[in-house]
Amino acid sequence: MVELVVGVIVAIVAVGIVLEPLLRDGRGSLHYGNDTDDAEEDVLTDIEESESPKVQALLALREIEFDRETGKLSDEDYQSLKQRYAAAALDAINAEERTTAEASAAPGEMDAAEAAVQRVKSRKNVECPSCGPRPERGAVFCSGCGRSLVVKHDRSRCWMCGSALSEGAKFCSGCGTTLS
Amino acid sequence: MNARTKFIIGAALVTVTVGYLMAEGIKDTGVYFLMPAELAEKVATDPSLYNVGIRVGGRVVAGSVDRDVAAQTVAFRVTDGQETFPVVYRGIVPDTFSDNVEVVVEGRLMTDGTLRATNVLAKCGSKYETTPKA
Amino acid sequence: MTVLGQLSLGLALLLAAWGSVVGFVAGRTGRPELIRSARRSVEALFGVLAVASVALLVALIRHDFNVEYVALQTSRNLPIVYTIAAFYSGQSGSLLFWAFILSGFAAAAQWTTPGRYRHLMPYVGAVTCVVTLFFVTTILFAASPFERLPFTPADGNGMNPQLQNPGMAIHPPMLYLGYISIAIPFAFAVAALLSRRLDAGWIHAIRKWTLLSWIFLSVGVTLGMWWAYVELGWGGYWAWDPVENASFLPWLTMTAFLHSVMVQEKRGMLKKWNVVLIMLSFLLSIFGTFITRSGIISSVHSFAQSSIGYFFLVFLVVAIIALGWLLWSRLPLLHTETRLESMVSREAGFLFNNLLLVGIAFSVLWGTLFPIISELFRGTQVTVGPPFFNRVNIPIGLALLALTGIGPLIAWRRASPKNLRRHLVVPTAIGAVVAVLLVSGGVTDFYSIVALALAAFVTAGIVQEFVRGVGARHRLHGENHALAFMRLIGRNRRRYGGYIVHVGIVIYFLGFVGMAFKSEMEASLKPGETATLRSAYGHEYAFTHLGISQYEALNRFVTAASVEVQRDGQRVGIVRSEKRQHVDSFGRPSFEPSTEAGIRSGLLLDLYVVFAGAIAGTEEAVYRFTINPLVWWVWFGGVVLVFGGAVTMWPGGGPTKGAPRRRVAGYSVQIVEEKVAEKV
Repeated sequence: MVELVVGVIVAIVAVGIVLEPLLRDGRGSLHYGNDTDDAEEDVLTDIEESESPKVQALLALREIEFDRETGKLSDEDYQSLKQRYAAAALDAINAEERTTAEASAAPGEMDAAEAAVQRVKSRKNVECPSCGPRPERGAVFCSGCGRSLVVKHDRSRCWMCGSALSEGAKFCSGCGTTLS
Repeated sequence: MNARTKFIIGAALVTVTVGYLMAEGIKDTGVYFLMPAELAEKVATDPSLYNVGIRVGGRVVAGSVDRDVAAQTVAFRVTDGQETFPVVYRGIVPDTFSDNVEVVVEGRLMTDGTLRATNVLAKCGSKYETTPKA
Repeated sequence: MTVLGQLSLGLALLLAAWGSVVGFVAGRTGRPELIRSARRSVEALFGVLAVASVALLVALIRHDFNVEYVALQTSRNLPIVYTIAAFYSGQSGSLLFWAFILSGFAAAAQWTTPGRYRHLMPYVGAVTCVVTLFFVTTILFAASPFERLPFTPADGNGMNPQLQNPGMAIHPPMLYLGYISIAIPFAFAVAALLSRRLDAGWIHAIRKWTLLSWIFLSVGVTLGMWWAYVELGWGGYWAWDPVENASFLPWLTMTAFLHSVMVQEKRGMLKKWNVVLIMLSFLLSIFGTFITRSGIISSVHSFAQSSIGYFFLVFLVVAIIALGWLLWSRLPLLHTETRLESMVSREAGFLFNNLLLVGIAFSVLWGTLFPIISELFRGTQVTVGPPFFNRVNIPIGLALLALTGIGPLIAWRRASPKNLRRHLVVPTAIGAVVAVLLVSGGVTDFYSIVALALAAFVTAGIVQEFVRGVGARHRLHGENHALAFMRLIGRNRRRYGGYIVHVGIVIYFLGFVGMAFKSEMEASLKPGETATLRSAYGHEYAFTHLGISQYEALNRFVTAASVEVQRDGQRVGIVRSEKRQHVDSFGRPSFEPSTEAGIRSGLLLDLYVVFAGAIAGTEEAVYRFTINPLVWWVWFGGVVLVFGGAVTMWPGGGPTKGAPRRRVAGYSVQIVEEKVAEKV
């Protein structure tokens, strides 16, 4: 009898845990891929896992230097490889510096193009569930498969056509889709 | 010749070598695994089965075990319910060897119809569920 | 506790089914509430399977013999350690153990995987749930440990005496941990395929898991060898038995994967191959469990004939078809980024290493399945034994050992002949000297000479790598040699940990070579009589039979026979071997008698004494004496290998705030391109 009671409790707890996210109002929860805040917590434990071209190029440089020192790479090979990686690293570093400079520049000094870049950048990074992350920030539809990328709970834009919505709208002013 | 072609040639060489080793290995070391009835049937038509390595599976006939501890030989009969062969084995039989136990006899069939065993493997009695070692 | 056990299993079935479906849908749609629910079901699954496991353990410890499993596996007089080990010693219990550990690993994967791989996690959860679902289904419908008997026996059957060994208490869980942990890298691979995110991400995410499961597998296989050596009493540790082969197969493919994955990380090659290897490893781990549990191949180990074989067969077939389709549909995404530049390069070395490992795996699989294959196609079973496996695998194994030595000395991409010479000259010379010494020392066994020469070659190569590495750090960073040595390993744990693992492998090979020189004899001795046997090192060992004694222990009746050993007339000591008749708590014999070999181990050789029986009523005993050179080196090799693996896996390497930078990087490259375009 005790066993049965324990069993039932276990069952209720387990089912409760699993179904709770479905029963709770989904509003305010984040669609993965556009949660830019998480990026700050995303600490790499191993520098080799970094996908930054700069880090990768620098790692490769460090490695060939070591390989030459232990005699595994001949001097000619070392020179040619070094040139290749050094160029890549330089490009990556330059590029990085330029973006930081632009990002920190005062808004008043921005020209129109840079303002546009800034605007796009301020949008969220979008990810398509089937095609992966999209290069176009703030995209409404996936440029690969055409799927809508707007989450239904996002009440600021229409999930059908992406038009901006007014507060509390029941139909989209762009395409007429029912929203609630 | 580029590196890719060279690698494909190398890979092909390795594959052929492995294949050759396997084919030869099976040809030279593969032995028939037969039940007594199959063995009797085969031997009747194909005398080349005498005096080559074979494995015979079956049950130890109850009461047929004759141990000669001093000479370290064991004689018994193995059967599958249809045919029965006498077995002579010199060596230490496994702990689980006894009447009615399933055994695998490795050895040669002599022209007089006895199996001269070089190895006897015994399975556990079905009474116990024995656990395979992982 | 069977009600609770059955209830939890039923619940596990529901949760696993829910997790499979929801995980998949969550991955497709990216809906946050589904993602959360999928993750929760993985966690809840772990919880309910833990409850089921506790239920079984409680039944075992309480000696509830009304439960069939408890009655079959244990008895009142079984030591408590083995009573707990009975959890995984029987068929249905071991399946529950599988499912429980798998769900634990699955939950751990959800908890420990860094946030940047979160796009993979719903799929990973779905895959682990599908596999757990299969195991829970098999337990519920074919082999439940919670079945009750219509009556309550006064005492249980007791555990098979061969399983009552400390090795047996840890060997199966280790091997199972190895088998099961492959499921996690496998789940990541499938997740990457499903999500079409086939960049290096999933490879990075599973790095630790692959190593972990490889270490577990290595330890499991080695412990299995040790158990067979001390417990089975035939004087060796590896008989190419189907069950042994089944544990060896995933180890081979995982070893291949560990190497080839480096090629993908460094050079972006072999993407398809790596996916295939990890799938193969997973399938082979299931296949291993299938072989052990179904008794499909007549093997000394596979006695348990039952319907669960069909469950496994169906699962394997369905999995192969599903994975084949998945791979086929994602092939265009798995194109290689670079090409092989030269045959004399590290990547080419890895390619051949993979080829040889898979070659061994294929020949072992073929040999294991040959009885079935020949029966299907030729009508009669043809079996192959150790001679086949040795003949095929010794040459390939030696080629692999040679590659172990050459590979690390070659540079990535392309090695110039001059550099190659510079690196190979010392190791080759040392290998050649060893070969010459052996031949002049009178060793005639060809494979042994080659193996020892190669062992010297590989070791010299690794030592040279360490020496040159320390030298390079000393020059580049001005560190003293001790510091340079520590930092060399610390800063590049994967490379130098890997070298330590290679040393472990070399030590294994030394142990294997020793087995080629074993000497053996059987003798029937009256008390006081002596038999002599010559060891491979030329010493004369004399075994003098002292007598037979009989006594009772906790759950067995023991007949022990002792011999005094002398080496070249010098007393070495007494070695004792036992025949054990296990009894239940009423003193009735259970199981057939078992043999406990007497082993006296040393660095150079083991004396292995088996008491085969006494001649009716007298003190005359029949013995088998075996002298096994270098057996301990196999166990040493295992220790070194685990140490190397631990070095490789040691966490750290300096946390970096790489992520925000990475987010900008793609953008900056675009801007640079635009600026360049403007200027042109």
